[in-house]
Formats: sequence, structure tokens, C-alpha cells
Amino acid sequence: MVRFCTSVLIMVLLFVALTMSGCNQAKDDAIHIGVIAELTGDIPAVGASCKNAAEMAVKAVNDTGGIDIGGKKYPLKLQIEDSAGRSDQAASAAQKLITRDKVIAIIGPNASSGAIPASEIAETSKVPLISPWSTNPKTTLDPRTGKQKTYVFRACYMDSFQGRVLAAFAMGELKAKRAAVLYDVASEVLKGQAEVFKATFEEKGGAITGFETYTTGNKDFTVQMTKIKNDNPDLIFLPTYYSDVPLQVQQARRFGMNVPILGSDAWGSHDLLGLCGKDCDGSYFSSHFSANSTAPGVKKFVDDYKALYGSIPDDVAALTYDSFGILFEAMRKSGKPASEDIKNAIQKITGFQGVTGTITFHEGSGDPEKSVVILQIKDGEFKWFADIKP
Amino acid sequence: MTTAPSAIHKLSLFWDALMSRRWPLFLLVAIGFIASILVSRYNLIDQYLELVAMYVGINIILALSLNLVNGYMGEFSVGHAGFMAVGAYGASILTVKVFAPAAGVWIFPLAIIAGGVLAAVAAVVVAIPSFRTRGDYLAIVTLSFNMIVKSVLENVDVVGGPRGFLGMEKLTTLPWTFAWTVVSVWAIRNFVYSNIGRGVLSIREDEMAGAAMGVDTRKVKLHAFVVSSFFAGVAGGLYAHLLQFISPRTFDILKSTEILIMVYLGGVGSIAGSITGAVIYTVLIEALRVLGMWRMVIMPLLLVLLMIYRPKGIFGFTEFRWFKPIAAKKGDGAIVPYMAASEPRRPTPGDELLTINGLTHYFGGLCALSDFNLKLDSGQIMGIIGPNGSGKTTLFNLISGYYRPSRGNVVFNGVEITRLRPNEINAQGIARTFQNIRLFNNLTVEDNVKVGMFNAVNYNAADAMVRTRSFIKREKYVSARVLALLELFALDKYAKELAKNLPYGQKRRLEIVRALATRPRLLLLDEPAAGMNPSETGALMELVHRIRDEFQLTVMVIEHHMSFIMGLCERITVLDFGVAIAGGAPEQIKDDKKVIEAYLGSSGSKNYRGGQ
Amino acid sequence: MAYISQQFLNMLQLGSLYAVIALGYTMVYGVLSLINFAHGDLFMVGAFLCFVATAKLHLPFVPVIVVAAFGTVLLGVAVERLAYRPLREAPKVSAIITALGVGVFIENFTLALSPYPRHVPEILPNISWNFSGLTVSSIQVLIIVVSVLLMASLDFIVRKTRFGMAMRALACDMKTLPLMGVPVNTIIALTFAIGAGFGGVAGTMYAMAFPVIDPYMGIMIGWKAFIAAVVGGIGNIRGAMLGGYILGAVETLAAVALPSTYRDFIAFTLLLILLIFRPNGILGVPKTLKV
Repeated sequence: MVRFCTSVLIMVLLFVALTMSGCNQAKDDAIHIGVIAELTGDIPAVGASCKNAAEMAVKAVNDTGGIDIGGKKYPLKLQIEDSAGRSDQAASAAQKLITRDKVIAIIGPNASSGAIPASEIAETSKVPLISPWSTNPKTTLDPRTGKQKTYVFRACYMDSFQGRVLAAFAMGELKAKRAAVLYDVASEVLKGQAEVFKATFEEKGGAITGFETYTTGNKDFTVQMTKIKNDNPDLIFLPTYYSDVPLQVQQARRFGMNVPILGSDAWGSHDLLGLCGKDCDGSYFSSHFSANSTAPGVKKFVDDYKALYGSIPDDVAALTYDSFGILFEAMRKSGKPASEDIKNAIQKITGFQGVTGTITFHEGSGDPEKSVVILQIKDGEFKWFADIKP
Repeated sequence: MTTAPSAIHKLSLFWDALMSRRWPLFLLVAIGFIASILVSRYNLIDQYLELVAMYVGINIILALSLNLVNGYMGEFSVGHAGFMAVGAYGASILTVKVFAPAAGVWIFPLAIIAGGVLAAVAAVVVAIPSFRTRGDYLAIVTLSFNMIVKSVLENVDVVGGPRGFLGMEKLTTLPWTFAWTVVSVWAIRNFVYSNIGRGVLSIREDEMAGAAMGVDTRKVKLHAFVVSSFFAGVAGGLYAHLLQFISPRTFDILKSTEILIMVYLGGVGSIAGSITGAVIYTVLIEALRVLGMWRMVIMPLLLVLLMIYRPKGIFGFTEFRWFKPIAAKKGDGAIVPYMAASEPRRPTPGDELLTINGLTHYFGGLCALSDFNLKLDSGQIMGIIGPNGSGKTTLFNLISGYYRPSRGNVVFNGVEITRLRPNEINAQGIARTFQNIRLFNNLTVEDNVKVGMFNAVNYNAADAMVRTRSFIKREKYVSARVLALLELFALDKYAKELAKNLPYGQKRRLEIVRALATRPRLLLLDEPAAGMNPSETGALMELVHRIRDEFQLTVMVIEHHMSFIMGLCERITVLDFGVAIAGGAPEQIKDDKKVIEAYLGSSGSKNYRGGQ
Repeated sequence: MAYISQQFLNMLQLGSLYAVIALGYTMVYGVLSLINFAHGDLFMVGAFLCFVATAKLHLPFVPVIVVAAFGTVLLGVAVERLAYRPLREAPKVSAIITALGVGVFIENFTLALSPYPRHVPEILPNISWNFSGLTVSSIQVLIIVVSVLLMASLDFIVRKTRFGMAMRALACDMKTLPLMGVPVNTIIALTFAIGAGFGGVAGTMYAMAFPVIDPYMGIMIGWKAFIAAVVGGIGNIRGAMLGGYILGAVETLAAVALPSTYRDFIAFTLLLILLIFRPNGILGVPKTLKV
């Protein structure tokens, strides 16, 4: 009896807690913007950068008194939710932001496994969602009709495009004929990059000597490296996360392989320099932006970020910042603070000068047109090497 | 202030009355279902609550299905997400690839069931190792299963590999989730309170004793795994059509851990527990969102604290009255006095019932029993005596199938039973008790005896889950028989008591009753009088005589109490160091030189004539 | 030939790490029949302590090992005292779930403090020797030698010392042991201390060999080491060592002989088959049927 009453009480409390959570917002004319970031879970670094850039972007606007829409200044309110890197939590976070916090738009999630279910919800609820870093082609596609979703956008290029660019770069600039690939099979993004690279490379007449994999969490790549070395490639392509890269490169170097190493955008964190030391010197990788660009926008962004958080912004931070840039640009042009109008305005964005390059959206597509930046690691720095336009 | 207690008192009386009836539950379910339809049609609650409610429903199914294996069967399965994955992918492939997405709406329930069936088939992979191994080793088997499923899915490009599978319509709605949750709770609850469910419980409590009572442990384990996985698969299908996206990573070991936490938070071996655990976990994960990054720090901390202060979880081993079966009452139609003599398959007294030829057993190099021969006539009471370690219990274990003899054979009623498993031997008509009482401690006295009637039931698991007429009829019969049997042995007043709470003598008696419930022809009693005082021993002697006559049994008994053996048995065999050194009527044994030597050494006193 | 011996060396290195971590699981299991699911996270804490000691405190090699081992020992004993001891009389599964909870807590607590992966600076100069194609690095040698030394000393402790005897007795019968005048709590705490210390040292060595560490690094390797312990026969010290090397060998061979995509698949399938034929692990003794 007592126990039963207690449990009923607990249930009621839980229900109340759930109903109340997020309802305590004051009625103001602030515009709410939602962020879904992977604060916990398997890629916490991505979440942390995303959160940092988001807070910075919103603060910058609020410091000027808010965003100017149709002649009126609205302050912005940021609501950051954790997706824990899981699909179901990304979906519930998106639903909460839309229904509870009445956000006008959502930035994130970054991982496609979260971005896809969240984008389904955004699409049905007619709230624009911009994923800074989801490179999976399926994020913006409606799989049932094969058409593009109308409310879902991304700030980055897709990994299929990236894989093609990298294969062309490897054969052209680096004159590679025999390439070995090592990638993380449990990561959708990296597997996609590896496969597109392989297909393009072979199509163009190159040979893939080794196509090796590992699973997220492995740190010992000696077995794969030994195999790769045995086949004597003249290039190693490592579409792997930056936290794994130093280990792989070091192990490759330890086995005496001094061939050029090529990476993908998953390398794009300045931590890589510290983690990798001189081993990575001379390696190339594709990136979304170059932090030592001298363009005024980029320099200001990098300096501000450094001042606030004490580190150089990584790709995710830059892309998040640009996602906000796109959103703000669209809001200013939308004429009224409504999701529908903002969506329409995003679709019309052309030539937006972001920190990750020039971004153009085409009507009916959530995928931007932008170029791939190739960076080289040299003397302990990321050096701009080339821009490859689509 | 003074009126408040009486108001509360009235409320609790009302509550009690409400809870002890079944109709409020049905009413609640009906209201819930109608509400879920209205809510989803007219958007009565906001969509976030609706989504969380659907998560809750799916998690309830998951927690319940895992509870069946971990809580009720007492195994430790840690890879439940693997089954969920099979169901999710199976159902999604059906709705997306096999049928046009448009047709999905109509075949959705079928797709979900198909996903469940696929998961159930996959469960066989885990069930088979569970025949031979349990505990931590089985945990590894399930863990490996989880990893294998994930690894396979990552490598199959047809379903998207690591990129995940999508294209499902959002077919999972609140009414569907509600309906599936209710069906799962109902079916699993019915399963647990059926014959096979009692088999599952007996495996948790004491697998070997269960087998001795005729429980086919392999069949029961297979059933439990299959049913559990079926519902995990169902949950997977619902999950896939709710998120419209699944990837191998969704079903990793972390998901399995999540389900484990829900089950143990709510409490094992309890349907109410699983429901509570799933609700609390799912709601807290959402409600604690305000904590941001620290949410995932607080959650495990709460779990650890709960486990320390309430190790059994919130509901461990207790149940809502609503979920318990309605107790059989005296005067229920089918109740008839227990007519032992009316049992079929009774051999006529004097026939040869048990023949043992040259039975030999080694433990490593030690010969525990050597070339043992015996012919036992039907209706006899035979005693086995011998010093400790002389091979008496080994003989019982060989007869009842726990050990495989190194040489020799056992023929029972014309059937060779040497290589049969304990439950098969029990089904042939041999039942036993144990030297150190092996009751199912956490089951009621009634259920202990019901386990003994495992093979007296002719309905199958599916009958039980949907409560067919044959199930209801047979359950009534079982309840009535068990009550009658308990009454006969004056244990009926303890029927609802947990076996572990019985006084010692009653425990011994219950063990005999449980063995009798299997309708044996041969009863093996292993030291039934151990720890009893002379008057209790006398009563026991009378009892054994009585059951021999009333149940037309043949009895073999191991005992050290000489007065007991001498007064009870018609024949006695004496074992020493695994060798039968003497045999015959009690008077002969009493004066046998070898026997006295064996007990007292060669210079033994001649005064020894058995204790008084 | 060089290729094969190279892979053999890789196998030894991986196996040594698995073996040392598996020991932590098996020791605790031996005395308490508890799967200490937080052990993988103690290993992670060891690696983070190594990071703090090198990157922040700039300590040399030996103090680093001492700091990491001492820190994890303290944590291990504290976890035992606060979370497991209150549950010693409770159903075993409650303790296991508590262990799971403690593990998740440690992971996410570390995560909340440091979401970004950390780089552990080089403590010892890394030298590579080349023997006609076979590359041997000083870290590989260090890992293998230290692991073998640790295992040998543990084996000695368990078999030859009074503490080891008490530990083995504890595994047999916890109820009777206090009657023999053995301080059970001290023995259990010591067992946890040794197990955690091994985890800490393994974490340090791991951080030296693979110098990028993150709060979740202990999960996968923890599960794998646990599997190694079970393969060898959980509760059996020598079994854990054997199991570690077997798992290392299976993983290496699977990756060598087959597309490495299927590495996990092959490794776990083999494990399943092994458990079907040897349900108690390789050195595990089947529990004698007590009827």
C-alpha cells in the first residue's frame, strides 16, 4: 500500500517534471534558436566545439542589440540540447526544441546518425534545420520520394564530393599510382569517403593495394599497418578521426613507411598538431576551412574564438559558426521572424561569405555549393594548399 | 487535522478494494487506448510528450522482454539490443524493400510481427549455448551475439552498412505503441504465470531440482529466449518506424546497457518493476535535460545510490496485485479430493520395477560406486545405508540422471534409462528429494508443487500467452490438484507462503509433496530424516508408509537413523567405499559382521544395534 | 618471414595489454564473483593520470607509473568501499549493475571535465630497432616485458604468499574465512587494490603506446579484456593471462587472414564456438555438481 502510493507519487512527480521542463520560459519577444550538440556520447569534442561556436555567434548578435528583422531588433535566445550521440535522443531533443521551446530554427545535430532522425522531425514540423557537419547525402534527402527535404540544410559539402576531390588530388598533385586506405568501418562518414575514394581512384587507373578497416575505439593499428606496408603503396589515405590519426601515422612511420599521407575533413582539428607532433609533417588533408587564412572574416572569427576559449577553432566550430551566419542572413532577409520565411530565405542565399568559404544554395536543395580546401601540415601548422571548386 | 487520517484511511480502503479487483485494470487499459487514439488524432498533448510517451512504451516492452530472461530465469543476458536490431531491420526491410512504402500502413502490424519472429529465430543461437552454460559465460555469449549482429549489419550494404537504413514511413503512432505495450505486458505476464513460466522460475531458483521435477530445462530455456527475443524484436520494429532511421550503432552495447539499467532499476522478476523502471529511466533522461552535460553524470550516480539502498530495485520480486493470477479458491469447480489410487500407469505390486546392472562410477580416479547390482520389486521400501562417502548419494544421482555412469546400466519398468536426462527420467516415473533440501526458495509453497506438475500439462506456450480455453481449464486443474495435495499433507495453510520461510520439518515434507506431484512410481528419498528429533522421525516413518500405500509407490531411502531404516524398510543394502557389502532383510543386516565392521571398524563393539 | 614475425610481435603487444587488464577482472571475480564492469574505466583513469603527470606535472617515467598506479589503486579501493561493500550480501546482479553504473559515472565525469581527446607527451624516447625488415620499438618491448613481469609477480603472490593463500581461500568460501581469523575486508580491499593498480599500469603503458586518450577508451578494451578473462576461465589467474594472449592472437589473425572489416565478427564468432565446446573457458573448472 505504502509502496504503491509512493510509486504513484513518483510517477506523478516524473510526469510533472516532464511537463514542466522547458515550460518555464518568460514571455518575451526574444527569438529562440535551438542547438543540438553531441555534448556527451562518443564524439564529445564535436559537441563541445559546436556549443562554443554557437554561443559565440549568438553573443555577437545580441551584443549589437539583437537581430534586425523587418526594421525591428529581436534579441536571440539560445537553447542547447544534448543528443548524447544517439539517434533517439537527437529526435527527442529536436521535438522538445520545436514543441517546448518554440525555436524558430535548429542548428545541429552534427553526426548524421542524429541529424537524419532530427531532420525528419524538423521537416514534418516545418522548422528549418541546418546541420553544420552532417556529410551523409541522406540527411537532406527524403528517402521515400528521393526528393530533397525542404526544411533541411547543411553547411558542409558531402563526403561523396570530398572523396572524388581527394582521389583526383592524390593522382594529380601527389602523382600516386598505388594507394592504401585505412578507415573506421563503424563510422558512416568515413566509410563513405573511403569507398568513393577507392572507386574514383580505380576508375582513373590507380591501384588500391590495401583497403583496411578498424572499429571506433581501436587504438592499435599495427596489424593493419603491417599489412599495408607489405603491399608497398606510394600513398596512404586515412579517412579517420583526428584522434586516431596520430596513432596511425606514428605507427606507419615506425614501420618505416615514408610515403605521403592524405586525410579527409575528419582530420580538421588543431589538436591534431599537438597530438601528432612532427610525424604528420607533410601530410595533406581536405578541410572545410583554413584557420590561418588572412581573409578578414576568418581572422576575426579565429581571434575571437581564441580569446574566448583559448584554442583555435576546428572545422565543426567554423561550420557551426557559418550555419549561424546563414541563419542570421536568412532571418534578416526574411522580413518576419517565422520559420517558413526563414526557410525560403535560406534557399535564396547566394555567395554568402562564410569562414568556410563562399556558400550558395540552390532552390530545392539543402546542399550548399562550396569548395573543398586542401591543407598541408607543415612546420607544426596547417598551411593552405589549394581550393578545389566543384 | 483530526479528520485527515480518517480521510486517508478511507482512501486506502477504497484503493485496496479497487486494486483487488480486475475490472479497473481493463477499464484503465480501455481508457488508455481510447485516449491514445484521441490524443494522436486531435493533438491533445504536445508532440514532445507524445514522442516521450512512445519511447516509454517501447522501453517497457524492451525491459519486460529482458526481465523474462534476466529476472525470471535468472540468467544474465547483456546483449539484448542485438535482438532489437534484428527485429528493427527485419520489419524495416519488409515495409521499405519488400512492400511499397504506401502499402506499409496496412502491413505494419505484420511487419512488426515478422521482425519479432526473425529476432525469435536469432534467439536460438543464444539459447543453444545456454543449455550447457550459464551465468557469466552466457553473459559473454549474449554480448558476442550483440557484437556479431552489429558487425554483420555494418558489412551489409543492402541495408546501408554503417550509414544506416532509412525510408520507413512514420508508422509507429501512439495508439500502436500503446496497443503493442499492452499486448506485450499481457502476453509476457501470461507466459510467466503458466506452466512453462513456472519452469522458467524453477531454473532461476534451482535448475537441477527443476530437472528432477521433470522440467525440460532445454525446452524451457529455448521458449524463454524465443519469447523474450520476439518482444525485443517487436520493440525494435516500433523503434525503427518511430525514428525512421536505424543504424548498427543504434544497437550497440550501450543500448543493451540502457535496457539492463531499466530492468534492474525497476526490479527483477516483476512486471510492475519493468514498467516502473522503463518509465522512470525514460522520463528522467528527458527531464534532466536541464543539467546539460552533467545529466549523464547524475543518471548513473542515481542508479548506484538506488542499488546500494535498494539492491533489489524498486519492485524486486514483488508484483502488483493486478498482474498476479487470480488465486484458486476452494470450491472452484474442478476441485476434487486427491485420489492417489486413481492414477493411471500403476504397475501391479510384485513386478520387478528397477534393475541395476554393474553400475560403476568414477570421479577422476576415485571409484565412487563399483559394480552395483540391484533388483527392486514394485511396492517395496528399500533402504540404503552406509558410512559417509560410501556412494549412496552417487547411486541416487546415477539413477536420476545427474551423473552418467562409467559402466553399467539402469532399467526402469522395462525401459533403459541410463543415458536419459534427469527430466526424462522423471517423466518415466522416478522422483527424488535431496540430501540438503533443494526447494525453490523464492516461490510459494503452491508454486513449488506446481512445478512438480510440469509434465501434467498439455497446453503449449502459445496457448498460455493468449489464454486459450485449454490453458484456463488445465490451470484450474493444476491448481485444484496442488491444493488437494497440499491439504493431504497439511501444508495448505502455507500455500501462499514462500518456501524459504517454512520451518525445517515442513520443508522436508514439502519436498516430498513436490516429488509426489510428478506422479512417480519410484520415490528416492535422500536422508529425509536428517536433522529431525525422534518424534519427528517417527512421524516421518509413518508418512512414508502411508504414501507408499496410498500412492502405490516403491521407495528407496538413504538414511543414517538406524531406527528409522530398520523400522521402515523391507530390504536394506549396505554400501561401503562404493561396494555393496551386504543386502537383505533388516534382521539379517543388523547382525552382519561386515556391516558392523564398516560402521565401527574391525574392533567394533557388538553392542551396537542401531540408535534408539 | 619478417611480415609474419612482425604480426607475431603485434599480437604479443596486444595480448599483453589484454592479459594485464583481464587480470583485474579475474581477480575481483575470483574473490567476490563480481564482474567489475568499472575496471575498464579504471584503466582509462590510469591513462588520464599518466596524461596529468606528464603533460601538467612534467614527471619522468617512474614517478608517472607510480602516480598512475597509486591513483587508480585509491580509486579502486574507494569504489569497493563505497559502492560494492554495501552490496556484498545483496543479490549478485545488483552489484554487477552497480559496477556498470560506477563505470558510466567515471566515464561521464571524466568527460564533463575534459570533452576533448588528450595527447600524452612522450615520456621515454621511442627507439626503433630494425632486424632485416622486422621493426621492434622500445615501447613494444617495454609493454611486453612489464606485462610479463607483472603477471609473473602476481602469479607468485597468489601461489606463494600468505595473502595469496587467503585470496584463494576467499574464493572458495567467504563465510568460513573470518572464522579462521582472516580479515576478509582487508583481503578484498587488497585484491581490488592490486587489480586496479594493474589497470592503472596498463592504462599508462597504453597511453605511451597509443598516446591519444579519451574518456571512452576504457569501454571497448574493458569488454574485450573481460572476454579474455572468460575465455581463459574467469576467476583463474593463469586463465586470464592465457585468455588475453588468445584474444590478441585471434584478433590479429582475423585481421591478417581476412578482410579486416570482419575482424570483430570473426573474433566473436570464434569466441562463441569456443564457449559452446568449453563452456567454462579454457582453464576454468566446471562447477562440480553438488546434488
